[in-house]
Amino acid sequence: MWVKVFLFLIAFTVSASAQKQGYELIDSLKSKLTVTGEDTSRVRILGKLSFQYFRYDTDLGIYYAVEAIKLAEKLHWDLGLAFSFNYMGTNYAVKGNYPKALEYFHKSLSKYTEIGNKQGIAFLCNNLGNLYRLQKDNSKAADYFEQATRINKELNNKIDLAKNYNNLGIVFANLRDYKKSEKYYVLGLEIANSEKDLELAAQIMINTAENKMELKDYCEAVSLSMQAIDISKKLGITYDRAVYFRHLGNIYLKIAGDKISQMSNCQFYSSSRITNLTSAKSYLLNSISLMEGINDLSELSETSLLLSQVYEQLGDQKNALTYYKKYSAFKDSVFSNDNSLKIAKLEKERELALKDKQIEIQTLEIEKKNSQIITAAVLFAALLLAVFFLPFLYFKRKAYTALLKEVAARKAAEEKIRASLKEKEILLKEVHHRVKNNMQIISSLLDIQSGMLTDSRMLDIFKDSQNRIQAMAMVHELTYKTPDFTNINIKEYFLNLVEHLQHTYLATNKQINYEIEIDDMNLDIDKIISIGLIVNEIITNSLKHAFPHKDTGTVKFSLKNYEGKYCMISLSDNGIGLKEGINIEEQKTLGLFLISSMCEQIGSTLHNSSSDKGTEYIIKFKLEEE
Amino acid sequence: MNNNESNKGTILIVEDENIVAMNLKMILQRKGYKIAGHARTGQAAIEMAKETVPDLIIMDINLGSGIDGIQAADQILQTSDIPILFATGNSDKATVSRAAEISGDGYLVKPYLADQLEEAVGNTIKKYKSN
Repeated sequence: MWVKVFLFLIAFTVSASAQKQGYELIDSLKSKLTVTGEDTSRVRILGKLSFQYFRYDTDLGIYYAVEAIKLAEKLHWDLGLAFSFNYMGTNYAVKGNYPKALEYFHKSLSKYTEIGNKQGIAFLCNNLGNLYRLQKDNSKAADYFEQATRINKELNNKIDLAKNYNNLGIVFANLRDYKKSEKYYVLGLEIANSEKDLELAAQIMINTAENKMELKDYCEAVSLSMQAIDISKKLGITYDRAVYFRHLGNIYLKIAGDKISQMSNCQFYSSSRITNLTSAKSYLLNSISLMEGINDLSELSETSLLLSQVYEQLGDQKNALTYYKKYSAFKDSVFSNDNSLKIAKLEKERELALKDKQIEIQTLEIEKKNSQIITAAVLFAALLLAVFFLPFLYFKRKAYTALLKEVAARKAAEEKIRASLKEKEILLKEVHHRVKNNMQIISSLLDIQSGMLTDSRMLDIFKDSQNRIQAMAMVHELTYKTPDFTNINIKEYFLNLVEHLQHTYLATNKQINYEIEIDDMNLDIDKIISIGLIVNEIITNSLKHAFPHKDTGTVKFSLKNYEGKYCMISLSDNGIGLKEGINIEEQKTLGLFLISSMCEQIGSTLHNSSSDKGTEYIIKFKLEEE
Repeated sequence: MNNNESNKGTILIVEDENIVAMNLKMILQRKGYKIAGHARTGQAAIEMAKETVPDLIIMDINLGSGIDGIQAADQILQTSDIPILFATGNSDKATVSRAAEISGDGYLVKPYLADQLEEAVGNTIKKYKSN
């Protein structure tokens, strides 16, 4: 029936005043929580809340411990982590989830060890001891309590040491080693008294009384219980006093039932069974009276049962039944309360679930809103795009259309130009064709005229004139075949010209060698006609006059281009040379006049040398206009 | 030199320029050829070719209005095999190709000299006779 007062978490006693303080503290801590930032003080507040809640609502205690752990991890605060793990373990231990409690207590112990916090290590050893004790592993519990004792001795934490001794006393009592148990209770009581912690002293006294009762030392048990009751009365701790009264009533009930005890001589109880039962009844009624004020149904139920037994032994069956009924009623109430608590818990869970749902709905609404905002933003962006980009597209398209039109116009213009060019080419060809036809008419006229002549000198003059026309016509012929009228290849022209002259003047019985070296180059039509006439005259002279008495001879003709800057024409033969007295500068013949005149026209220099070994002309002119 | 006495062959002259045609007659007659006639248009050339059936036709290409010398030659060659020597101021590739498709006998470019004409005429008739 009797539950020993063991001390969880250094100093913890379940009392009405403590509970009251607990709720007040919780409210105070919660209000503090609203004004703190994310710092170590917040971890402490969360930890304290967790610690306070373990008595009333372990789920909330676990919740605050989790929050404290999260923040401590975020802040990399090892001490915060250590005590938060401890609070977590405590809540799990009270909840009955021992494996989880063990896990968190060990985590806390590791952290305290890591940072070298001996006080913390002592806390955890004490708590681990309690945890093993709850699991009825008293040996292991004793080991941890002893470790805590050693550390607290070292640290000179007297109150904590007293609590360790109390816990060791309980453990050894459970192990039925009452001698060792009493030794620790004595040590604890000494410290509690010296430190004037009367509440703790009373608790140790009650635990000692429990041992005494087990050892049937009822006198000492009653004495100690009475001292504890006095202390609790002085301290005004109603709950403790009510518990201690029930404890004393129980001792008297035991005394009444024990025949041996009746033979003992003790000032606190009588040898009369009825007297002892009456004492038991009196103390139990006191307990019920105090408990009714607190309305602790569980305690009331236990005490009512004891009282029912006392009345039964006293022969008062009526009261025995009454208190038994009360016991049942209180028990039902406790059960009902338990159920109510369970229902409340379920309702709370439901409320939490609803809250979660509400949060979920709110989140969804926010997401929906966000989605709407995003959609609106996208639409707005699209609108902006439409506002700015479409005109851009429109103008771009307009520009593109304009460009297409321009391209088409340019193409049409190009076509027109091409057609015009073609037309001009045709016209130009027609002009050249007409020129050649006219030249043919001139040549024909000269030929018709010469046909009516008999004078060979006159015939020669006509023939020379026809050749000059031919020389010019050949340029037109070449021009006719050339795509670019302004640049005519001279090599083809001069080779044709020389061939024509050779064919025209050469007597069949003469062998004339031609050494011709002409650079591949282009000249404009005016220059070619002028040079053509010069070459025509000089070669005609050579063929007609240089070899009068010779069957063989050589005519050399070279035209050299000097880096595109100037051109040099060299015409020579190995004939008999110019007749004595002929001076080219005097221009006594049409041929010489033409040579001199054409050279002047193209801006060339003319050098002439003649001997009996031949004649040579060197003509040099610039290719680039200054 | 006048070779009017001999007859190297009869030649039909197709030329729209009378001076040129006159000069041709002189040269050819001087070289011993007989002139079958002188036509100034393509159509006239076709008719005269049928009538005279010459040994050679010297054909100008640009003949003023009406069909040109190539078209006239084409029609003439549809009913006869008279060799045709084109004598023209046109020496562009397109015209020369057109002419070569109709008749590959000869092509003389204006202005030409008497010797050049005589050589071309002689060669064409010789080539024709050898075939």
